[in-house]
Amino acid sequence: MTAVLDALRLIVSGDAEVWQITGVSLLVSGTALLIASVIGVPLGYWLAHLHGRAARLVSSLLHTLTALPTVVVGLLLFFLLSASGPLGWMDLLYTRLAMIAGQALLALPIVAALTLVAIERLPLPAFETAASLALPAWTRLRLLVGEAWPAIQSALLLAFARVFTELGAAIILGGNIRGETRTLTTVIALEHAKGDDARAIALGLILLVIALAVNAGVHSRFGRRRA
Amino acid sequence: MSVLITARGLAIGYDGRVIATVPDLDIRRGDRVSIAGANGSGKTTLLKTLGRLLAPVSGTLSGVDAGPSGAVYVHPSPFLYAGTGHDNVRLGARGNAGDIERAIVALRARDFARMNVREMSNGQRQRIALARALAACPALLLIDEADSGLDADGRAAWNEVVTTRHDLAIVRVSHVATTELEREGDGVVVQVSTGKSGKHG
Repeated sequence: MTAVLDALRLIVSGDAEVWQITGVSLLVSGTALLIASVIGVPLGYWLAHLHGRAARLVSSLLHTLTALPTVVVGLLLFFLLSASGPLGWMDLLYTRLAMIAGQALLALPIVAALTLVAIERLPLPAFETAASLALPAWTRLRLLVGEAWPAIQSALLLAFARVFTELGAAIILGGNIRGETRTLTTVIALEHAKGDDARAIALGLILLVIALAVNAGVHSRFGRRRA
Repeated sequence: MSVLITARGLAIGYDGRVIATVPDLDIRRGDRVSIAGANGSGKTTLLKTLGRLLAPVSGTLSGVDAGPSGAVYVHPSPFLYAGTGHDNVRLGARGNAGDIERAIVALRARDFARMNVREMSNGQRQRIALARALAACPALLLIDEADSGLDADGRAAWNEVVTTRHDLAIVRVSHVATTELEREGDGVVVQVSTGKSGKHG
C-alpha cells in the first residue's frame, strides 16, 4: 500500500525523469504508428482491390503477422542491426530509431490487415460511383479511406495500444539507456527487477492512463460524429 | 447524329453467367431510352454494362467509356461521399466551378447543396447525385430509378433536363409497363428478356 502512495507522490510531484520517460514512450510509439499508417493504410487499400488466390494469400499472411511476438521482432531486428549483422553499418542498435523500426514492424500488419477489411466492407456503390465518374486514383483513395475511416481509426488505435504497451522489442532494441531509450514498459521491468516497486507502479499507472485515455478520447469523438 | 453506344448480340450478367439478353442497340446523342422488364430481369445489370461498370458476358459493346464526357451511372439509392452536396457535385465536375454551378441550378439544389449529405432527405440526395452526374458533362446518363423519389420541385427540374438537354442521351430504368412509357413519349423502349439463349463465358 505504501508503494502505491509513493507512486502517486511521484506522479503528483512531477518527477522530471518520470515525465522524460513518458515523453520518449509517446515519441517512439507515435512515430512508429505514423510510419505504419503511411505505409499500411495505402497498402491495405491497394490489397482490397486485388482479387484471386494471390490476394487471399497476402491477406491471410497479413492477418497472421498481426500476432507477431514482440520479442521475436526484437530479436530479428537485433541480429540485423548488430555490429556483425547485414545492417550493422547503420549503427542503429540501442537507439530510438531501432525501437521505432521494431514497433513500426509490429504495427504495420495490424494497420494494413484491418484497413483491408474496412475497405472490403464498404458498400459496392461506393466503388461503382468512383468508377462511373472515372475519378483519379488519388481521389478514390482519399474518398474510400474517408468512408472507411471509423474502422481504420479503430485499427490505428489498436496498433498504437499494441506498440505503446509492448516490452519485448523496446528492451532488446533500445537497451534501456537512461535518458535515451528508456520507455515506460522497459523502466517498469527494470525498476521491478531492482525492487523499486513505487517507481514501477507510478510508471504503470501512467502507462495505463495514457493507453485508456487515447482509446476513450477517440471513441467519444466518434460518438459525437455519428450522432 | 453521332452514335454513342452500339450493342450487338449482347448477353449480360455477372462472372460469366448470363442473366439476360438484350436487343441490338444504337444509342445516339439526344436519345431517350427506357428499359423495361420484370423485377430481377437484368435492367440494372444492363445499365451497369452500358456504363462500363460490368463487362458483357458475350456480344460486342462499343462506344463511350465511363466518366466525364462519357457514360455516368446513377444508383437507385445514390451513394454520396461524406461531406456536403457541393463537395459531391465538385467530384463530378473535377473542380470546374461553372459545371458545378450549372448542375446545381439545373436540379434546383442550391438551397441544400451546402448541407452535409448525412442531413439530407432521400429526395435531396437523389438531386445531388443527379447534379453530380450532370456536372461530369456526360454524353450518356444512365439513371437507375434515381429519378423515382423526387418531389414535385425535383421532378420538374429533372423533367426540364430530360426535355431540354439534347446534347446528351438518357437511358432510364422503369418498372412502369411498356405501353405507359410509350404514352409518356419516351423515344425507345428496350425490353430486357431473361434468356438462357446467350453463350456462356
